[in-house]
This record gives sequence, structure tokens and C-alpha cells, in this order.
Amino acid sequence: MAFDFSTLLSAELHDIKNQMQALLTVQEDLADELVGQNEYQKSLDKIQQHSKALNYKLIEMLSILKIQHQSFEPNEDEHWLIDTLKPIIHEFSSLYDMKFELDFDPEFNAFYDEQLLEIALHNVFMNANQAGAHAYILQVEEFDDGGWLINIKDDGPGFNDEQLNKGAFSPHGTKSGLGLYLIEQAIKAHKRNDKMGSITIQNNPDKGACIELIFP
Amino acid sequence: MADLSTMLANKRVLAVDDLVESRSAMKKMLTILGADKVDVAMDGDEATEFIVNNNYDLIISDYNLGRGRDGQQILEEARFTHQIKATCTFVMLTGENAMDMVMGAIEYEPDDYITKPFTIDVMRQRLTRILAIKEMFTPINEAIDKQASRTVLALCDQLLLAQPRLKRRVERIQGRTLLKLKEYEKALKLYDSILKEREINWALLGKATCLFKLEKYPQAEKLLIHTIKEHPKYVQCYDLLSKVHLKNKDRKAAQNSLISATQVSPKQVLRQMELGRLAYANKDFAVAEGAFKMSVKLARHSCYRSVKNYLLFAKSLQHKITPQSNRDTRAASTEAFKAIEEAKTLYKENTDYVFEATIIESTTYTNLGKDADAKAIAAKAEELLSHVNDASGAMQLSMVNVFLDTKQHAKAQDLLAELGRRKDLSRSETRELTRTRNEISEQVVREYTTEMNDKAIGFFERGQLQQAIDIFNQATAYKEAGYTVIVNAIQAKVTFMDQREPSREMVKEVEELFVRLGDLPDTDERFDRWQQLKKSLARLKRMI
Repeated sequence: MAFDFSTLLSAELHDIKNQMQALLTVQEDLADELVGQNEYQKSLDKIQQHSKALNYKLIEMLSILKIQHQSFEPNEDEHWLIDTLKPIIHEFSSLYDMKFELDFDPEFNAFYDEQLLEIALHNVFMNANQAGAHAYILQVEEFDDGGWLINIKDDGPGFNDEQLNKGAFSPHGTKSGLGLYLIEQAIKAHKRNDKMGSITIQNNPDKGACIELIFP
Repeated sequence: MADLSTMLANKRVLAVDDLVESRSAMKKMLTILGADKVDVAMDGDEATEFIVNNNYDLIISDYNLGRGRDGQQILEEARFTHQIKATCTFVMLTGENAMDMVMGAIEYEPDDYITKPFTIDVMRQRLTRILAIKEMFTPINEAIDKQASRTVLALCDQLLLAQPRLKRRVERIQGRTLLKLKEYEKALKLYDSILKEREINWALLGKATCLFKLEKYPQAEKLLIHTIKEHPKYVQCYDLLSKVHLKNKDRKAAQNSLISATQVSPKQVLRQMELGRLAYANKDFAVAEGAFKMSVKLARHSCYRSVKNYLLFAKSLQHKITPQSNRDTRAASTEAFKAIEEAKTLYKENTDYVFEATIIESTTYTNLGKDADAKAIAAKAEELLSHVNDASGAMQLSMVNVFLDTKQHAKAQDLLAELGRRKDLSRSETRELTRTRNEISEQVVREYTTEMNDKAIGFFERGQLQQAIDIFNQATAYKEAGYTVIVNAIQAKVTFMDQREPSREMVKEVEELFVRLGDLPDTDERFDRWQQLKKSLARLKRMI
């Protein structure tokens, strides 16, 4: 029998996840104990930020492993968008001092794969941050047929011509890395009846990039 | 939305995780978030104990709890036994995406999943939402706990008007309630309208259930096959598909559906038992054995533990037990005796169960070729049966079979006669009775009557005529009794009347025996004795 790498790998990953969870907890404890001791605060904040980023990276890696698996089917369940967004926004605003404006009904809920949307949003914000954006406006639009989209505008330099003209995104990426490819894969995995998710990118008339994540 | 600490205050919370760090971390997190009454459990057994003894509002359990039962099993048992109410919130923590989780029965699904690893921010956000929604559903869940289905439907309509965003969740309860009320056409309409918008797994299963109940089997089958293709972990679909196959009288396909289900979700006791029964009926003993073995193991410390598990397991092992001493036989008989002993110990108060276990014990010895042991245990079973008030037809039938296995034909015959007089046998019991009667082969009976013949001759030679006659009566009661037995019976009775005095009754019995012998030609070597006896009978008749 061929050696079962995937079983071994998933056992290892399971262990890493448990270690990660334990690490996050110890940090919370440490933060509690160090309240008021300002000389450690700065380092502690850094540690916490990095481990949160590491935690996210771990989840992202798991998701990529999952998407590339042949039998992958997204788990489209009903979620409240604000619940998915808040922890991510919290992370980005504390890590990179980004400003978010949420321009939609906080009670908005829809069917989507939460992990996939997290991947997409992380990459959107990360790309924009690297490009130099500081502020975001998020809007939601609902369609009569049950579909919906998230529109994310930033105040950065916008997409360059190479990105805008490409049409489809390549796994080899552009200078900005895997970002757009992953975002597209994560949204494309969403299906409803015969429809499929998609993304569009354009530049705002005044300033910055605009990306739409369209869910069927 | 309401504040989490307000919602958590005064709530009784149980956190379940097998890892000690995770447990204390979870307790701490919950305390920071505002819970003040938090218990922690390390495994399924401890969790169940806590659940039995307390009234929890919120249970947060890791799905994977190491060796024992998993989070889903804790949930299923607690809901199955109504130890937690519909108003209790159950949150499952998963290392994986919820998609990889086995989806159990609708009523046994957790309120929500939280994926690990999570930060306190995520936990706060998710718990706030989960509890806020649960609170909006409180009146509905209270009505569910009271089994007031009409009220549930009315409250659903109200909630839908007030909270249109909860549409899908409300519809799910509506569908389930309509099914409960057997309003299948209405439920079907509801599921169809949901599916037009989105193929949600529970709506697919709901629709298939309606089709099944409305006896539209081909449509139900088609839909279930489609659903399983899309959602291969939705085990309930396999269960329903198995039922569809049974309706189509395709027991093999039904068994295969259940095998698929147990491959997805091997830890569900009731399904394993169902598979075992089906496989046993299909004479697929290897599958039956595996399924019953699993159910014994899974149910040992759970609310699903039942004597049937043990006994059916012991029965399913019999196909491996032979008089040849090989590894298979030894292993199987050891396991069978262990299961029988466990059943006897656990259910020692219940004579019916102990009787059933004893019957299987005797059969196991018979299959091992240990006839003396089999007979000794059969005697115990007989003794137990005599203490049972109103023994059922099924119990008597199994006793008959053990009598036959241990070559106690007369007892078997007597009990069969008693069974024949019963008016309360079910159809399958009547079938079994006929089958057993037919199984008593002529050859076996003939051998047996010959055995009795020898015994009776012993008495006859010692001059114990009455005893000899009693045994001959038993032997000649079989229509299969051979010529020699009948002649000897005649001889015993004639001698008896010669020594005492002839009676009308016994003369009549002897005449009947002569009728059974028929006429013998004078060339037959037994002719002289036959004629001698005929003459004696004629003489005795004249003396009356």
C-alpha cells in the first residue's frame, strides 16, 4: 500500500491547530497577568499580533489544502456577514491601523462558506494594505433572485493596467502575489443551482481600487 | 443585539473537551465573556453525568473527544433521552470545517458550530449571535418541549413576520413540525419553495421524507441519490434510502445503504443495530457480526444499551462456531460466551432475558459439538422457562429448537403441541412453528424412537411393565415410529394385560397399533410373532 501522506498530514495539522489554540490562550492569560505593567505591553502586543496573523495563515493553509482537494465542496451555510467580518476588521485595524466603514444592514445574513470568505477578505485587505491603502468602505447589495455581492472600495493607488486587463487570475500571481487568484478561487467555489460566484475588479473614478465579490 | 455578558449571566454552562489545557482555556474564556456558572467535563461519560444531574442552558463541546464518544454522540444521547431541552443551546467546536462533520438527524444537530482555532473575539461574536437567535426562538422551543405542534406553527408564523432574516431557520422548524403532524403535502410544498431558491441539504432530505411518506418511492429514491451525491456526509439520507429499498423489497440494497451510512458515521448505535438485524435476516452473518459487535461496544456505557445488542451479537457469531477446534471457532465462541455472560449479569433481574441468553448459550455448545454441556444448559433454560409467567410463543419456540438440538424430542414434541394450541402466535411465529415441525426429520425421530425402544425393553426385561408401556406410548406417539417399536409396544401391553387384567381401553390401543402395522404375508420372517400376538389379543378380548 502506498504511504498515506494525506492522513499523516491531516494528523499533523490537527496537532498544530491544537497547539495554536493553546498558544493563543496562554497569550490571553499573559495579557491578563501583565495588565498595568507598561514596560512589557509593547512586546506583548506584538506577540499577540503576530500569533493572530500566524493563526490566520494556518487557517488559510488548511483552506488551500482543502480547495485543492479533488472532492472539495464548499460548506455554504447561513451566516451573518458582520460576524465573519468583525474579527478580521479588528485584526486589521489593530495590526495595520486601517479604517473601515461598514455601509450595510448589520442584520444582513446570507449563505456562504465562512472560511472561504475569510480567505477572500484577508487577501483583499492584505493586498490593499501592501499597496498603501488605509481606509475601506464595505457595501452589500442583494438581488431579487437571492444572489448578493460585497463591494469593497479602498483609498490606495488602485489596480495597475496589467491586473485590470488580465481577465482571469493566474496561480503564478502578479507582483502582488497569490492574492487575486486565491480570492477568485474562494468566491468561484460558491454555487447555487446553475450559477457560480465571481469577482470583478476596477478602479474608483476618484481614487483607489474597487473589488466586488459576487455570490450566486 | 443584546450584550453577551448579560445573556451569559445566570446561565448554567457545560464545557466539554478532552485536553486539559483546552478545558481550562474554555472555562476561562467563558468566564471573561460573562458566564459565572461553568462546569467542565473531560469526556462523554463525564459530560453525560453532568447533563443528567444538572439543567444546562448552554453546552459547548469539542467534536473530537479522543477515544470515547464524540461531541455528536453526547448531543444525540442527551436529546434522545430528553435530558436537555429544546431551549438548551448546544455549540460544537470542530477542528475542521463544519462541512467535514457528519450531519446526523435534524433534531440532533447542534445549534451551531465554531471552528478551531478561535480567538476570544471570534468566540464572543459567534456566541452573541447564537444566543441571541436562540432567545428569539425561545417561545417556539418551549412549545416544542411541550410537543404543542400547532402552537409551534403559529409561533413560527409570528416570528417570520417579526424577523424575516430568520426565514430559513423558521422554515426548517416549520417543515419538521409539519412532518410530525403528518401533513406531508403541506410540508412538500414548503420544501419545494425552499429548494427553488437554493438546494439546502435539510430541505432536500425533508422533501425526500415527504415523498417517502406519500409512498412515491421512485421519486424519493431519485432525490436521495442526488442528495447523497451532493452531500456525501448526510447520513440520514442513507437511512431513508434504506427504508425506500425495503419498501421495494430489495433487502440487499437496503443493507448496502446502511453499510454506506455506517462508513460515514460508524459510532451511531441504533443504525449499527438496524444494519445488524438486516444483515442477519439477509444471512450475511459477517456483516451482522461486525454491526452487532460495534453496537455492543458503542452502547456499553450509553442510553442505547440493550440486552438485544448482546444476544444478537452472540447469535451472529454462531456461523463461525463448529465442532472443529480452530482459531475462528475458539475466538468466536469465546466472544459469544462473553456477550452471553455480560447480558446475564447486566439483566439478571429479568428472567425473560436470562432465559434468552441461556438458550443462545446452549446453542453455542451444540455448535461446538459439546452435546453434554448443551444439554445441561438446556435444562437450565427449561427450568427458567417454567418460572416465567405467560411465556411468549417466541420463548417456547426457542426452547423447542434447543430441545431438538439437544435431542430431547419428546419434550420438543410436547412443547410443539402446546404451541399448536396457542391462539396468540404472530404470523412469523406461526411460520417458524411450521418450519420447526417440518425440520424434525423422519430419520431423526426414527432414531429417537429406536432409542426409546431400547430403554423400554430394559424395563420390560426387568418386569417393570408400566414404565415400559409409558415409554412405548411416547415412542409410538410419533407417526414415524418403526415396525419393531410398534410390535414391541403391542407385546408389552399384551403381557401387561395377561399378568394383571385386560382392559377395554388397552385392548383398543393394541388394536390401533395393529392397524398401523397392517397385514403381514406368511413369508415375512416376523409373521409368526405377529400372528402369535394377534391370537393373544383375541383371547384377551374374549375375557372382557
